[in-house]
Amino acid sequence: MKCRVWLVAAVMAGTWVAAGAAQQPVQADNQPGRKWSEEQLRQASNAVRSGRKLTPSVWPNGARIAVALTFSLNNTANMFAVGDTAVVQLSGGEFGAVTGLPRVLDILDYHDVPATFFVPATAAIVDPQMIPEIVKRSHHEIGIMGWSDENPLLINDAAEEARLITQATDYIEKAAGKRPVGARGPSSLASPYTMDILKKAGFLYDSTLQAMDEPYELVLSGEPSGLVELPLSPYLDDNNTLSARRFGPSAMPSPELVFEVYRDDFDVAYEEGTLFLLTLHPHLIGMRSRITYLDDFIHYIKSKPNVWFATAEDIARYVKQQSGIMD
Amino acid sequence: MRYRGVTTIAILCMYVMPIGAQQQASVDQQPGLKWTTDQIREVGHHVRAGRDLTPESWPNGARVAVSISFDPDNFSSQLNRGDVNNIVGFSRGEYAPNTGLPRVIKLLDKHNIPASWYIPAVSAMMHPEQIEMFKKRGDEVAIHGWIHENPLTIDDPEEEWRLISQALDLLEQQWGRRPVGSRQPSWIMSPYSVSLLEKAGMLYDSSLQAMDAPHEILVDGKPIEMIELPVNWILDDAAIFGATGTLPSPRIIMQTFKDDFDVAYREGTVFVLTLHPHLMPQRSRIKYLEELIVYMKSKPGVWFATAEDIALYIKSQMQTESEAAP
Repeated sequence: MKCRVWLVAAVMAGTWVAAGAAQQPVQADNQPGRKWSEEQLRQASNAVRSGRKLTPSVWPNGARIAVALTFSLNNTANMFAVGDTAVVQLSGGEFGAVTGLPRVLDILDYHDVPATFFVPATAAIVDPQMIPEIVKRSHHEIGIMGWSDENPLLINDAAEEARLITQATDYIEKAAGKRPVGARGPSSLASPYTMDILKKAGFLYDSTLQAMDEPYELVLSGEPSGLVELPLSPYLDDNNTLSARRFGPSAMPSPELVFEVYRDDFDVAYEEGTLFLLTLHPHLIGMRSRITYLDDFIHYIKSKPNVWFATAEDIARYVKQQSGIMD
Repeated sequence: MRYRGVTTIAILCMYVMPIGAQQQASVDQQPGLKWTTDQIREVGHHVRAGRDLTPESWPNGARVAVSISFDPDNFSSQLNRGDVNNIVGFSRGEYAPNTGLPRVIKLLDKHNIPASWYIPAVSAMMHPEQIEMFKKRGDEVAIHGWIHENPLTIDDPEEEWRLISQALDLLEQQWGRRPVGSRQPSWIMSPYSVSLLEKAGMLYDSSLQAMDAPHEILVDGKPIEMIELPVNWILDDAAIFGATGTLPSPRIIMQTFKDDFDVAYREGTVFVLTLHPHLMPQRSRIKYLEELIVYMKSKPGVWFATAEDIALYIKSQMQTESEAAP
């Protein structure tokens, strides 16, 4: 039968198949987990897990909440990683360095609040003015974001990942004049090796995972690690809503609606007395139609009493010390 | 099984349509164009909606039945795919047991709202404290596949039966009762699913979408015992609030839910809301769920119930009707 031939061909080619009215794209059956034993299932999900909550009973100076404004300055770093040399798209990332970052820094200056910038080394290599501009402000922090915003899952090699992290840490240390202590997973990803590498390299905290919306300790293969996680949220990350389609989902490119979500989220964080960690990208948030919303939002946060604006580093140090984690 | 020979091939082919069609139209994948009218009817009529089962009135004269339901999938489907290196994915899967469930349960407790929890067995296995939380509230626990599997690509009734039975056994062990409700993972059914769920003794399913009122299910034209409490993508937070969500504005989406509820209320049927404890209880969203609950409670005659209680009531009314019939 004709259609049997097609079926076989489709399966052999590993072609994507779609159900019924093409409403649910599914792949040729790839569900190994359904045959795993309980032991195998536990083993498979055990490399990195969330441990105890690290929200302190009180923040410094009696503050109710800690606020970390974080910026991923990846610009075009991921394009370098994948060898993409498309000139127009490179210019879209360049926007982050030449226009977005200065706008962001001006607003932070105006409000006199510290922030944390996660910078892939290659982004700093092509725009070497960025790190000195950030460092000049004195109270900001610089953390790593891989060598080139690479995808560690595709590398899938602990030694190679460790090499890239070391190389990135050395590069950022040289550029910033201080060894970084915080990491954000390049491409917002982490492999089963990443946290172990960061711990061995002496990092204080990571800010990639999402198991809670307050600080927690990472548990590596069942053992509390002392490594602090300052979780991010995909719903507090402008990439999911404001990026151009080429760079991501661009689900809701209305800054007004996006900042309403941030404000609602902040209100509950304030009530619960935990951590509010925002993740923005200068090449996205630095656009003219958006930057004033950031300004307004910082005004809003500052209108509440007892808010502690701090770098992720200062927050991580404080929660680690309060919870009695030793090095 | 019922599917043999030509029918098997015909039905299999219906489910095999490369989306590669978008990119390369080298092979024409439209076998249905050659089907006879009988073949088309056989495929199209395999599982259909039967009678509308909305009762004359809901308990205590209520006008509408409301089922707030949650799918605590966590990282079960990630394990099913064997996607074991994605550490960020696992962390997202832990959000529900760590944060989402406690937060949303606090809200449900505050407003005294019962809920139905459709939980993949592997999710319950990985975090057994979840079913403890549901038990404490006297809520309903129902199946949602063994490991959030896709029965269409399994395409094997024996394997599907093994997974359904295994899921029921595990939840029965943790919950202390054998579940009587099912929602298919990703709302995907194979051509075998309905009959297998019926055989497993399910009182109701909550995956089909042919109406927005409770209805009878017809298999090859004959009504079966299991009834349907239909769902809908626009009353599901996953499509809109997920990582690639299409309209992640909780305020606007809650307006949609309210508008939908208003018509359900006017028509006196059911309002089944499908939520995910890693999505809706996020800090930026929880107050909108509370607003919706307060809004529904402000109307007279709203019956908040588990899906099981709604299905049982519908069945009891069907009973009464058939006894009353001459």
